[in-house]
Amino acid sequence: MQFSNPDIDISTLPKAEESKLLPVDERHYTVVIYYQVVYWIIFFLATLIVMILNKEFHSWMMVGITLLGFAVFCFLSFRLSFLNFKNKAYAFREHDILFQTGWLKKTLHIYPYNRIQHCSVDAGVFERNLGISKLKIYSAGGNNSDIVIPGLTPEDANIMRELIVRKNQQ
Amino acid sequence: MSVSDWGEFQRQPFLAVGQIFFKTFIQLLKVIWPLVLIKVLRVDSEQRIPIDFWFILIPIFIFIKALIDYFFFKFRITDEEVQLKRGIFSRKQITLPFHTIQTVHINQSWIQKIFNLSELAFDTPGSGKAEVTIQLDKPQAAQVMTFVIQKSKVIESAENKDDLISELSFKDLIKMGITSNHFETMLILIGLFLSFLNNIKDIIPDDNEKLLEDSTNKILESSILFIAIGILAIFILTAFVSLIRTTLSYINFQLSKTVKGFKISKGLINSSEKLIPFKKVQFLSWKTNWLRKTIDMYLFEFHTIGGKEVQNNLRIKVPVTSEFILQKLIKSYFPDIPKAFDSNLRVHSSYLYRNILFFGIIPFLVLSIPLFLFAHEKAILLLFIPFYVILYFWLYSKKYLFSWTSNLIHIKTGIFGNRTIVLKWEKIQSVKISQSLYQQRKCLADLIINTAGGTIKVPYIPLEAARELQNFAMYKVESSEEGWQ
Repeated sequence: MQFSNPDIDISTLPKAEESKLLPVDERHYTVVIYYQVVYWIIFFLATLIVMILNKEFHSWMMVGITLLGFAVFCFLSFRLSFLNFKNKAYAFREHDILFQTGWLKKTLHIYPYNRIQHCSVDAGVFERNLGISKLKIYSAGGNNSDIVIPGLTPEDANIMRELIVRKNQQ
Repeated sequence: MSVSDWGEFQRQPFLAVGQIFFKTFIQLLKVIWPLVLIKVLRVDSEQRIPIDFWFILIPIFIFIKALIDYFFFKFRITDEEVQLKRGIFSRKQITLPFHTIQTVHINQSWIQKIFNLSELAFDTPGSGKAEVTIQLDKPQAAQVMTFVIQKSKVIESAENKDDLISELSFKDLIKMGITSNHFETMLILIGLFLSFLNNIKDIIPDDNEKLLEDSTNKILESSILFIAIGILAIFILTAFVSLIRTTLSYINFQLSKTVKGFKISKGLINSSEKLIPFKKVQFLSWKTNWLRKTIDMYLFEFHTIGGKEVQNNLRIKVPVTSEFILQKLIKSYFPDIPKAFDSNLRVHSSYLYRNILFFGIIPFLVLSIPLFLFAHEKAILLLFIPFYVILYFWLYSKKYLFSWTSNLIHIKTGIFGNRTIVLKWEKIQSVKISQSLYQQRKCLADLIINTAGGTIKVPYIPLEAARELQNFAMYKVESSEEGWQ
């Protein structure tokens, strides 16, 4: 077996942290807000029904506490999804894709093109109305290692998909 | 073997009906045994006649199902693929091209032994649920297995001699049983006991249930000495059970090296034969505990390509009885692992403190207050939790050593034992740097390495180092000619 082991100067390697990351489109945040609103309306209605049916809640103090708790969680949830949105960014490099996400837990995930199994472009109901799609990228590295880049125009998403397919074949 | 033998759609050997019948019967029995017990125990009540009725009807029903399963299952093996047709109402056709097949196993459960059949199982990546199995008689199964293996790989080899690497003697088995992980066995025993209790709860009358409750209360009220004796008894039972467990699962164990990969066969009651192609191995790990270390024994693991379900099914653990064999197995993956490394990383000390806080002290405080109110001084036993957690994370952060060269990653880890992981850079799928808010403040990061054989996490290393490793991993993956499969 031929075996060589040359020294590599790590400082000369391309640095992922110096790449310029593109933020995700604003419209993605609108979609996130839509989902949040729907979720909180359903949750609010459910709480309301419980409060009406349950006699223990028939006092102003209980109603106040419940509503206050509700408002606090609602605010935190919206705030967190805003911060998460702000931290979402991506970049396409010559040989790989960078994807940054998360605020509470900030991650930078790098995907080499030659390890991507397949990718797909799809859009949910809200996303179709706003004219955006998301690009899903799958690798063989298990379920936790797949990424979704949201907030792309369908054209862009398709161009990126083509790019990945082309790079993958090289 | 000629292809023409298998080219036409055909059924499995007729004895497969018997095998399917017994298999379904036992599966059903596993689910409904408490019900059967109720029926049998309450003979005196008025339900006497329906019991006999059910005892006849159920086997007939299962037999019909077995016949249907048999007659509507056909398979054929062509030059390129394995094809299956099955189902009566919804016809299903499955095609397995040879190049997607990861491994082929021959299994023989005791039911199959009665009918002199073997089960040929194919594993493909990500198809954990749609596992494909065919019943054949033993020589046929072996024939098909060699045929498929020949077809599924590009390399054509003239000699097909198996080189036996290791075999376990009876003495090795005993050694392994004694030194095995008794804690794991204990958890399994407790699990079994609880599910047994749960099942039996429906059968015994209500006042018996109260008896159980009473005895639980008595245990709580009894002295610490009594509890200690009880624990000792559990330990002895556990040791005995783990001895039997290892003996049963590793009896007749044989590991040999063929041209295509490693071949493993084992088992007495349920025997199995597996083949692991060299290329499909993503990374290696082996572990030993201090007892096993003294007798030079390791448990070696091949981490191969596959989804979660496939992996559990496929998890290939190989007992290794000498350093020499261990080296031989490692060499098949990487020819020459250095004894010492220049580049090493350890876990940052804040990993220890944070985990002790979150998994030891906080749960202890939350649990101890209510328990102290109800169980009084017995709550002192709870003090073991933080001590255990401290010991656990202290050992972990003391033992963890991440080292690398330009060709491979070498990780030493473990808590009560030692575990070593060896990974080639080329086998990496993607790399992630993850930072919690605290880590962001302290410039620390977790490095998460995804491979097709599983994920490896390097916790709490300096951000700079994590970034360098990430960049280097990408460089290796993108520039290397060697693929991952």
